[in-house]
Amino acid sequence: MRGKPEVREAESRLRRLPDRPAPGESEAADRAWRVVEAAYSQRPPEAPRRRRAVRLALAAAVVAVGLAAALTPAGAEVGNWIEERLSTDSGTALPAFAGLPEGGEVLAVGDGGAWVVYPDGALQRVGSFSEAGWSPHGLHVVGVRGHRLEAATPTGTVKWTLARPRAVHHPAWSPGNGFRVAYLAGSTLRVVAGDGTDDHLVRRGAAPLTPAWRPGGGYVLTYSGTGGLIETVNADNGRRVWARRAAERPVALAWTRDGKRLVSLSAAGLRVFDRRGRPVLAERLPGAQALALPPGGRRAAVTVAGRGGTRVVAVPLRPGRRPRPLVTGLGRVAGMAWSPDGRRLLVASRDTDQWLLIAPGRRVRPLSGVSGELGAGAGFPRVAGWCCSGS
Amino acid sequence: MKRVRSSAAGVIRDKSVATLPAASGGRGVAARFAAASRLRERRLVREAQRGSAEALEVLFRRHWAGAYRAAWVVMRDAAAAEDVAQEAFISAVRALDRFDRRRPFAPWLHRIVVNRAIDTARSRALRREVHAATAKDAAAEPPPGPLSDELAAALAELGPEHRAVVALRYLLDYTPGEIAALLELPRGTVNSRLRRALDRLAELLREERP
Repeated sequence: MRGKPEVREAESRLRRLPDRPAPGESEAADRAWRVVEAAYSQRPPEAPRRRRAVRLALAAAVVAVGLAAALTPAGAEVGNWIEERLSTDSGTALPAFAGLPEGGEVLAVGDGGAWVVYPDGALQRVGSFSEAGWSPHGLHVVGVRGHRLEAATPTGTVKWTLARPRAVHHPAWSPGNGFRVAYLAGSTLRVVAGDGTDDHLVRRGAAPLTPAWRPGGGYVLTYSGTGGLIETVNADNGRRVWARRAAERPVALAWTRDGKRLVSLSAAGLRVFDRRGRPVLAERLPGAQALALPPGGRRAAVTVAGRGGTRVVAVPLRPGRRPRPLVTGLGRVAGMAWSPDGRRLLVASRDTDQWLLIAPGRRVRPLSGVSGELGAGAGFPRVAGWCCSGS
Repeated sequence: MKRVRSSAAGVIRDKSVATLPAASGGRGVAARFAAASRLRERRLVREAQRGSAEALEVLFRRHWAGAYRAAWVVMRDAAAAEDVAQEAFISAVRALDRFDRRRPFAPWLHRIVVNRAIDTARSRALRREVHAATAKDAAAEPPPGPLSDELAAALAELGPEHRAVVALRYLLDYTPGEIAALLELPRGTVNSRLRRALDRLAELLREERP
């Protein structure tokens, strides 16, 4: 085949590819250079060689002490200490963010706006958003800028902007095809189409928490009313699907991916409802604060504040199974998200300035010093989502 | 490393240097040229690691065209190509301190570009969350750019993985073995993707003939 004249001609046409510029190439170069230069100027200064040498010497000393410890009867404790030091060192030596696993991008929100964090540690600024969330397939980000709701691409191109007289907050892009965005403006629940048109009021008197879209047919979502009512409504015509009065005011709502279970979290614990709003599970968790459901939806990750700090527990969504702690002794948690494959949980621990990756087997891997990653003055990066768990 | 890139004029290949007449040095000149180029690049990387924005800009200008064109061939969309190439450079900048200067810079960058372009092209094909009007814009026929209409049409029928292999082979001049190493694919897969692209293109060229 390779010897045929058509193939030879095809090959010769392809070989001419390098001789012609692609459309927009040189203009793009100037734009891109400004961005790359800005990223370069934000790099931390190179570590002096002397410090590297000191580090090497320290490592050699630790190994020597380790050998000595292993050869002495009382070496066990020293050995443990060495193991702990070495594991801590290897954890903190990782550049922050560069230790994220492949298979998705994290949406982070700092004081200066929202950023997409890629698995290799690269960053892309999306916009000056105080809150943000992924669209279901990660094609867009919905963000809040004061009284404005904006949809932008992950590279920061604004697709549309909507201004409201009252402060906008708690946006949520619908799953599936993603043709609706729900948000709160003051205490009203509103919905806008995915292209920024057909903005309309759905309910008044909504409590300040993110509405939960129910996956499956139609645009149905659940929100919490200021009086503690949990109501599921059709977002397009406003019809009530079901409503239930909650004993404790919800602090988070989420539907499982299959659309069969609604999980409602309050400061007293977790409650699970079926598609029609009938209770199927109640789990007491005093001090519960935040909720994240993995794509599989068989368990929920819940942060619980207590005397020993905040802990993250995995709560099975079926009766008869007990919650299991995933990590304990944290300070304030600033967001958590499951990886798109549902295998890892990312927890933003503000007080320790870390993102913690919790892998199967409850192995915890810290990404330390994340505050400096979004640039000077950007503050601690909150985790707002991990693309594309909604797809 | 086999290739050196100029800033705007695209790729100056070592192969073109190797075709110099034997009397003027031939292979010896090519080898010396390539070695000098490797040294220059290593020096630039070292200076960039030490904080020289000028050195980084030289590296950027030298490699932008290849990165952008490769992304363009995979995605056939100028805005997306710009995003991907720019992000690849930012990734490279962020990982610059960890970069081993003994290794060539270009394959490292091209690996990032091509993998990211494939991911973006794949996910674009899956995503249907924009409304019809936006989708229409996105689906609009891209300008042919470095490709003739027939070539563009033939390549458009291939998946992004195939287009990526074509870009690496014919645009960036990697050998199939180098492509296999870059993309972490079996060499047979690279060869079959190249063959399929050529076959499809040959088929179209045959149809055009009277």
